[in-house]
Amino acid sequence: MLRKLLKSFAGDVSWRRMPWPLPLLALALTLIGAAFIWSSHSEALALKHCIFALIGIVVFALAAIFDYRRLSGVTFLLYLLGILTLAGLWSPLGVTRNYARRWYDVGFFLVQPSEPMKLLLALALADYFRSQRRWQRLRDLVYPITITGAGMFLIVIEPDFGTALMLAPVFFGVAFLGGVRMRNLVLLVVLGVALLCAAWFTPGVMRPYQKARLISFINPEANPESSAAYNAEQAMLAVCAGGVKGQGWGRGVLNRLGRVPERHTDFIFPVIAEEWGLVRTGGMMLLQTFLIFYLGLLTLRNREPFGRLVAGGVLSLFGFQTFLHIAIGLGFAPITGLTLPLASYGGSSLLTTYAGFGLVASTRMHRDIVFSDATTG
Amino acid sequence: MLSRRVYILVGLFGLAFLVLLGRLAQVQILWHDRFDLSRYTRASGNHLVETVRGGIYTRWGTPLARQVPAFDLAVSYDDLPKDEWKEQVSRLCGVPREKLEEKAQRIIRRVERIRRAVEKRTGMERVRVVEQNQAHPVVRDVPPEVAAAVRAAPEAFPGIVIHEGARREYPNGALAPHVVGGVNDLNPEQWKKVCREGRQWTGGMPLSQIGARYKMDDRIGSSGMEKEYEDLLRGRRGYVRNYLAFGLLKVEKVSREAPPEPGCDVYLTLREDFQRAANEALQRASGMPQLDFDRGALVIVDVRSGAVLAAATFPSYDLSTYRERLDEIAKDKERAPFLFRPVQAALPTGSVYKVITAIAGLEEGAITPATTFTCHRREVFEGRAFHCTGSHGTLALLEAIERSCNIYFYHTALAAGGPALTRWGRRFGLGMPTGVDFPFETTGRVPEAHATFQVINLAIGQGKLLCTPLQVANMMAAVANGGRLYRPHFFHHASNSEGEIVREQRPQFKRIALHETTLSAVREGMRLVAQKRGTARHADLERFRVAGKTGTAEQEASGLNHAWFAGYAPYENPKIAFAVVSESTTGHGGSHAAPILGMALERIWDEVERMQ
Ligand SMILES: [Zn+2]
Repeated sequence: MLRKLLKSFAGDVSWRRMPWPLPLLALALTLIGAAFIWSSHSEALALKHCIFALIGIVVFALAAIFDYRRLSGVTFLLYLLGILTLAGLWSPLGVTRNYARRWYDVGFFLVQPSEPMKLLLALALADYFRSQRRWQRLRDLVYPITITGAGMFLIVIEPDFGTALMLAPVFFGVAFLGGVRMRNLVLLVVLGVALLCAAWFTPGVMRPYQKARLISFINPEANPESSAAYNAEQAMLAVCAGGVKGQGWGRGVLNRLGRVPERHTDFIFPVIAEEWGLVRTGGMMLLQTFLIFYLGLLTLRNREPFGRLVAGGVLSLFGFQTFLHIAIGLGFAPITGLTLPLASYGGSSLLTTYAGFGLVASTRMHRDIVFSDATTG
Repeated sequence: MLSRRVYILVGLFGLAFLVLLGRLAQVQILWHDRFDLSRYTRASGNHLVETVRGGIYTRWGTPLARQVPAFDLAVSYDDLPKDEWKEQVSRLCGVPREKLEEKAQRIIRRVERIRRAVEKRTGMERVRVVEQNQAHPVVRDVPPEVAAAVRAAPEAFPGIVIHEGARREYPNGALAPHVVGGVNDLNPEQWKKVCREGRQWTGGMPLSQIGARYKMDDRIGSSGMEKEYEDLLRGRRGYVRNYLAFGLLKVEKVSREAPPEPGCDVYLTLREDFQRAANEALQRASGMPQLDFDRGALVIVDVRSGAVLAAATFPSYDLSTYRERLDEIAKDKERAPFLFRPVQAALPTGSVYKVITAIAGLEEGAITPATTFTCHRREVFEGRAFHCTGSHGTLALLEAIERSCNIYFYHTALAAGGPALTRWGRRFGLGMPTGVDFPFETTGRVPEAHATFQVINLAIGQGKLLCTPLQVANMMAAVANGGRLYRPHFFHHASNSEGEIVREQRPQFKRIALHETTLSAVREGMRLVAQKRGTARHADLERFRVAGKTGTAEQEASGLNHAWFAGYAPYENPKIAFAVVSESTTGHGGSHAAPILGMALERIWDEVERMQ
C-alpha cells in the first residue's frame, strides 16, 4: 500500500542519479547567508534561516523524488492558483509591512506568495514551450506573455518592483531555450523597455521612491542627498572598506553602525564584502558561478523538453537574481529591492529556491523514457 | 540548436560574473587604500549644525522671548538606568534624585516606543535604533561652572556629556506671558503627533533630511505664539557631511554642507506702552477696595485692522520665574492665572448686548431711532414680571442706550423677534470663533431665543449668552468702523536673520451690511453713555471721547456680577476698540469696569491721539 503510494508519487526514481553538487552548493551558500544574517541582524534570525534551510532540504528531497512529469498538464492550474493567492493579498488575510502588502501571516512566519510565483511561472512556461516545436510566429507568444504579465502586474501593485522584475528573466530564459526566434525576443525586449518608459510617465504607476532610485542611479549628482543615493553610497562604502582581507566576520564598521540599509535582505552582499573582503567574497561568487554552470550542465544533458525547460527556467531565475543583487551592491544597477538567493533572509524565497532545485534534480532522476534518445531540436 | 542556446545562456552568465568579480577587485583593491575610510565610516565626518530659535517681540521691538546660549547636561542612553550619574548630577545641579530617575525613565520609555515602532514597521526583531547610541539631555541649562567641571574631567563623570544648547530668555516676562506662551521638551503626545505627521527625524535618515524635522529630544512651542508660529520660529538645522561618490570608473571625495537657517523673529501687534498700561490698570484696580476687582481682562484692538494692541489678563504670572511658583499658581484654581481671559474666558455680557438688540431692531425695521417705549420699572410679559434698574419714563433709543433701560430693549427685542437677535449677535462675531491666531480659543455662544422669556433675557445679555472679551472688543470695532468685522490677530510680521520680512499680516474682514442711520443712532447712544447722564458718567471718561456700553451680568448662583465696559475711542474718529471685564464682582459695569479703562487710557491717551 505504502509502496504503491510512493510509486504513484515518485514514479521510477533513480537514486543513483541524484545530482549531489546541487544540494551541497545550495547548502553552502545558505550557511554563508546564515553567518551574515547573524552578523548583520541577530543570532535568532540566523537560526531561523537555518531552520528554513532544514525544511528546504526536505522540500528539495520531496521535489527530487517526485516525478516532475506529472506536473505537465496541470502547470496552468497551479499557476492560476498562484495568481489567486496573489490577488488574495488584498483580502483581509493579507498583511501590510513597510507600506507594502506582500504577505500572509500563517502564525510562525510570513508567507510571501510572490516567491513561489516565480517557480510556478517557470513551470507553466516550460509546459507551453515544450509542446510545440516552432515558435516563428509572434502570436504564439500571446499566451506566455499574458500569463507573465498578469503575474508581474499583481506583484507590482503590492508594491514589489524587484520581485516583479524577476519574472522577466524566467520568461526570457524559458522562451530562449524553448526556441523562440531571436528576432521576436529582441522585439519583446524593446517592447518591455517601451512599457517601462510608459510606466515612468504614467502618473501613479511608479512610486516616487522608485523613480528617485532610478534617477539617482543614472545621475547620482541629481540629488545626492536623497535616501536612494545615500543607501547606494553607503553600500559601496561598505564594499570598499572591505578591501582584500575584509574586516572580519561581525566586525564590519558600516554593518555595525547600521548604515547599510536592509542589511540582512536587500543589501547582504555589501555586508559580506565588507566583512569577508575580496578573496572570500570572490570565492562565494565562484560557488554561485559553479552552481549556475552545474544547472546549465543538467539542462544540457536533459533531452526531455519539459524537464529541460524547467531546469533552464530555474537556472535563468537563480542566475539573474544573483547577478542583479550583486550588481546593485557594486553600484552597477539601480536599487530594486532584491534578495540574494539562498543567502538573504526570507523563508518563502529560500523554500522556493530549494523546491526549484529539487525539481531540477527530479528532471535528472526521472528520465527513463526519453533517456538515451539522441533526438534534438 | 537548443543546446547551443544553453551554452550561450550559461556563457553569458559566466561573463557577467567575471565582470562583477572585476568590479569587486576594482573597488576593494584599487579604491580601498585611496582614502582614510575611517573618516567616512565614523560619524565624526557627519554632524548636524544646530539652529537658533527666533525671538518674539512687541510691535516696536521690545523683546518678549529670545534665545541665549546655554549648556545642557546629557547622559548616554546605556548609562541611563545606572545610579552613579544620578548621584553626581544631583550633587552638581541640586536636582532631587527622584526627578532624575523619573526623567531617565521617561527617556527610556520613549526610546523603547521608537524601537517598537521600527520593529513593527520592518517586521524585524531586537532592533537597535540610533537613539540608543545617543546621549539624552536630563538637565537643561546647567550653570557654566558645572559644564566646565564635567568637561575638564570627563573620566570622573562616566556617561555624562555636556551639550551646547540654548535656553529661552524672557526679558519682559510679565508683559504678556500668555500671548508669548511656552516651549517644552516634546512630550509623548506631541512626539506621537509629530510622527503621525511625518515630521520626525530619526537616525536612520540621511542628515540632509533633518531640515525642520524634529528629533526626540527637541523642544516645541506648546502654547501661545510659541505654538502658533512654531514653524516660523523654529528655523532649520544644517549639517556637514563628507562622503565618497562612487562612479563607474572613478571615485571622488565630496564634502557637502548646508548651513542652518535661524528661525524668524516674530513681531506682534501688541504695543509695549498699551500692554503695560493695561496690565498696570488691572494691577492697580486689584489694589482698590472700591473696585472689588480680583480677576478680569482688558483688550484693546485697532478698529482699522483688527490688530490686538493690548490683551491683559489678571491674575497673571512672569515667564521668567513662574516655574518656581508653579505649584502656587496651579493651586489658585478659582482665579486661574494660566487662563488667558481675553480669548479663553467666555462670560455673559449683560447690557453690552443691548447694542446688538438696538442694531437688530433698527435693521429689521422693528423700531426707528424715534420709536418710544415707556418704562415703569416693571413690565409683565406673558404673565411674568420683568424689571428695570429704574423708572425711566417714556424714552427713545438714544436715551435708552444712554441710561441702559431694560424695558425699552424688551420691547425692541420682541418686535424684532428672537431669531433676528441671535442672528445679529452672531453676525457681529459673538459666540463665534474670531479666528484669532491664538491656540485654544474659546468660542462661547449666542443662544437661540424663541420663547418670550428667552428673547427678553437675550435682549439684555443675560441667560445662556457667553462671549469672550476679544469678541466683544471686535464687535465694538465693527460698530466703530462701519461694519467691517476683522479677524483679530496678534501677529504683525516675521523677519529672517537678514532682517527681510518673510511674512506679513494683511487685514482680513467680513463686511456686515448696515444702514447709516442705524450706525449713527447706536454710535450717538454709546457716546452719551460716558457723558453726564450716562451709566458710565462716574468713570470720568469724557476727556477720552469714549463711546461705549456698560454691562452687568448677574450670576444667580453666587449673587455676584460680571461687570463690563466695552466700546471705542475717540468717537469722532475711532482708532481703538476695547472691552474690560471684571469677573465676579459686587459692582456694576459703569462703576466697577469703566474706571479700569480710564486708568489705562490715562497712560496712553496721547499715543492714541497720535495713532495714524
Ligand atoms: Zn427702564
